[in-house]
Amino acid sequence: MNEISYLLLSDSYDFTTDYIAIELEKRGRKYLRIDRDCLTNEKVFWNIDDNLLQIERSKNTFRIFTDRVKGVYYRAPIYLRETFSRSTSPKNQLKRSQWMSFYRNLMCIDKAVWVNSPSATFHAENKIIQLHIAKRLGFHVPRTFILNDAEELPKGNKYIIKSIDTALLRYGSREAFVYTNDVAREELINSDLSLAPVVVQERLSPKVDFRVTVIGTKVYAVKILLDDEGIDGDWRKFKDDVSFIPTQLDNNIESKCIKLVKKFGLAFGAIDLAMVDDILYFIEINPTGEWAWLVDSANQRIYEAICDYLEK
Amino acid sequence: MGHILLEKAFRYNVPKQKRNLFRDYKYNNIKGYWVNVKNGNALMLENGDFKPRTKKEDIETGEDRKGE
Repeated sequence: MNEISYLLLSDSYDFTTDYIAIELEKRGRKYLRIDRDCLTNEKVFWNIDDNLLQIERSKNTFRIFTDRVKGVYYRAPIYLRETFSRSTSPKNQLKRSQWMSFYRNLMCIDKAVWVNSPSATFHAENKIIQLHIAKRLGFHVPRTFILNDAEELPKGNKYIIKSIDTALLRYGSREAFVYTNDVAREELINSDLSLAPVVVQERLSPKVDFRVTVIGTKVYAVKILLDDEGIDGDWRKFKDDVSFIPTQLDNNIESKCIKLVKKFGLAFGAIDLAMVDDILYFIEINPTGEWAWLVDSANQRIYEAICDYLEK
Repeated sequence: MGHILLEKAFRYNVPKQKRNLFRDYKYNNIKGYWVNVKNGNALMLENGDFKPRTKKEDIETGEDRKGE
């Protein structure tokens, strides 16, 4: 029987996790990927007294001693937002809520290195907390307001608006996603915001976006350019056409990025920065940020750093 | 006027599941990654069209699929 040292908690269609599995295999490590979408096809038996989680899959039995696992790569939501829903069958509600809790309970593997710990992610995913901590660490932070009434918003400035949390909305057969958008003060005043608060920030322009991926003390940075220039507004709207140019950050900024990740108790963080007139502003940190797109587009082998960290 | 985030939200047709496109690849649940059924190579080490080349691929769920 196989005793497992590294766990990859994911979904079988999460290709980013593939990179980690391939790298751990290359290093000859005993790992097991547990995919939420495949769990109903597996036999799971967790003996809490013996700290032994046993998983039977395709006639193979994997033994996971929860007090002996060395590293866990966590690529799953920290909680599901729509478990209870009229459009979801009771069967699926039960399946999703209970397996999700099963995943969360794997946090009892507390002697292992986690990338990232779901509890650290839960805290770090809050934009206002991010801004507070970034400011304390000495980052420049754009002037920011959270509001559902814009009357007191200072006049004469240009603003952008974004959601406090990821806003993915369903419109019948279509979906909608809230990107960062330019907005005029008058537009905000004329909009009924009582339904939900919004984040309003001073508009940084002209700017160059940076994506900084931190794993422990390892830092990978890219500039994001369109036709060799910075992008006005949300670069994700042009994501098929942009270039990701590897770049070296100033030591001071690099050190702040590392401290920020550490301060949140994270191992991994994808930080968005924007440069205006040679000043780098902190925009946000994504504790569950994507990085697979940087492997080919910027030749950043982030999976190596993640595996190095897991093996620490 | 409605809520500004609803008005400014970018609307798109729900992307068709890519799952049907994976005729040439199979998920190996022991290895923990997708492999080419013809040559056994790892999908992510190939130069195929399915690799996540851009941030978030073409499906916006928020990173980590947190919106699901």
